[in-house]
Amino acid sequence: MKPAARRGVALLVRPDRVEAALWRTFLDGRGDDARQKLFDHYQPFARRLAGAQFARRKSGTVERCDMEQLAYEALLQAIARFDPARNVPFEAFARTRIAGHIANGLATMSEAAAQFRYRQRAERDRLRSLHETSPDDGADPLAVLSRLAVTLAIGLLAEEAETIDPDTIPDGQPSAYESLVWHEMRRKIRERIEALPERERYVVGQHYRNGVSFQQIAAILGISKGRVSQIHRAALLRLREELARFR
Amino acid sequence: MKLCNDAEIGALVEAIQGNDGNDLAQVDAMVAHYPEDPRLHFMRGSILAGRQRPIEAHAALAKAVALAPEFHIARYQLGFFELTSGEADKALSTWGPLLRLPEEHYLRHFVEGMAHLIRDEFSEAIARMQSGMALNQENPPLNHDIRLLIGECEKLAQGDGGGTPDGMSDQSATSLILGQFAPGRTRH
Repeated sequence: MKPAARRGVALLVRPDRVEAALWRTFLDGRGDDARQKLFDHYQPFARRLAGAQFARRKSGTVERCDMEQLAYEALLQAIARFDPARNVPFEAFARTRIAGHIANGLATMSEAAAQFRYRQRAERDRLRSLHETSPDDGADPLAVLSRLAVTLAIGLLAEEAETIDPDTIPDGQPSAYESLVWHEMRRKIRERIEALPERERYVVGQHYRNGVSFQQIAAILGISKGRVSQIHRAALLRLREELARFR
Repeated sequence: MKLCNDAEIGALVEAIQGNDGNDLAQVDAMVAHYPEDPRLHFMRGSILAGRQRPIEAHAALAKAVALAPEFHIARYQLGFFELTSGEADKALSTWGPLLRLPEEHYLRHFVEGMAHLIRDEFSEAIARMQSGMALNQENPPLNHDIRLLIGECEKLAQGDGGGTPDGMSDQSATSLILGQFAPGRTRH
C-alpha cells in the first residue's frame, strides 16, 4: 500500500539523493527488489531514448516496441555494470549503451522479422503461460478453448491503447454502443489489475502496459521466466474470475 | 583507539573555512592516519554531501555513527541525510537512540519534530522544532536550517503548498560541521 501524501517529507527530499539511495540499497546486496526499483526508476528514460531512435529512423519497417525491448535489455545490462562509486551519472553511462544496443539489435534483425518479432514472442509466451496444467485438463475441449480465448482477450484488453492515426482507421467501425462497452470493459480490467496482489500487478502492468517481455521481467525480478509465466497465468485467471463475478 | 588532537581538528576546520578546494584531500589524509576517529568521518561525510557525492557521503556518516554510537550530532545528520534521500523509515530507525536523550536535549526535540513532519502533523512538528531551537545553544547553523523548515511547515499547515527550503543547502551542513568543531567544542 502506498503511504499517504507525505507532503512534509516532500519538503526535504532531493531527487539526486533518492537516486543514490536506490543504488545504495542495490549495492548493499538486496538484489532483486532493489534491481526492480532501479529498473522502474530508469524505465521512462530508456523508453524516451527508444522513442527518439524510432522517430529518427522513420523507416516504417521497425516497430516502436522492438526499439523499447532493445532499450530495456540494454538498461538491465547497464544496471548490472554501472559502478556508482565512479561519480558518473547513470544516465550518461547508460545513454550511449542503450543507443548502441538498439543500433546493433536492429542491424542483426532482419527488418521484416523486426516488425513481428516482439508481438509473436509475447503472444507465444502468453499462450504457453495460460496453457500450463490446469484444472481444465480432461474437460470438454471446446469449453477449455473458450475459457482460454476469454483469458487471452482479457490480456488484450489490458494493453495500453496505442495512438491511432485517423487515416489508418479501417471501414466498418464499431458502433457508438460497441465502443462504449469496449471502453467500459477496459476500465473495469484496469481497476481489477490495480487490485491484484503486488507481484501479479507488477507482471501484468509491465507486460501489458509497458510492453516488457516475460524474459526481461524475469531478469528484473531475479526469478525464472517459467515463474513469471506462472504469475501471469494466476493473474489472468484471477481477473477472469473477478470479471465474471462483477459482470 | 588513536584519535587526532584538537590542534589537528582546528587546522582542518580552517582548511574547510578557507574553501580552497583542497579540504577533502586533507580530510582523506587525516582519515588515513586516524581511521577510527569518528569526527573525521563525519567531516568527510559533510564535505562529500556538499560535493553531490551522496553514496560516499552516506557511507562516511554511517561510519562515524558506527564508530561512535553516542556521537549525537552525527546520528542526527545521518538520519536527516536519509530523510532527504526519501528513506523516512530508515531515518526514524537511525534517530531511534536520540529519542532516549533527556527531555531538555535539543536534538530529541528536533527528531520528534521530524517524526511529526513525516506524518504530516505540521502544527506538532512546528511546536517541537521551536522548543528544540530554544534549547539549542550549541549549533546556531542548525537553528537556521530548522527555522527555514518551520517556515515551510507553516505554509503547508495553512494549505499554502510549500516548497523546498532554499536556504537548507549543503553549505549550511558544512557550516554546522564548523560550528561543531570550533575550539573547545570537539566533544560528542
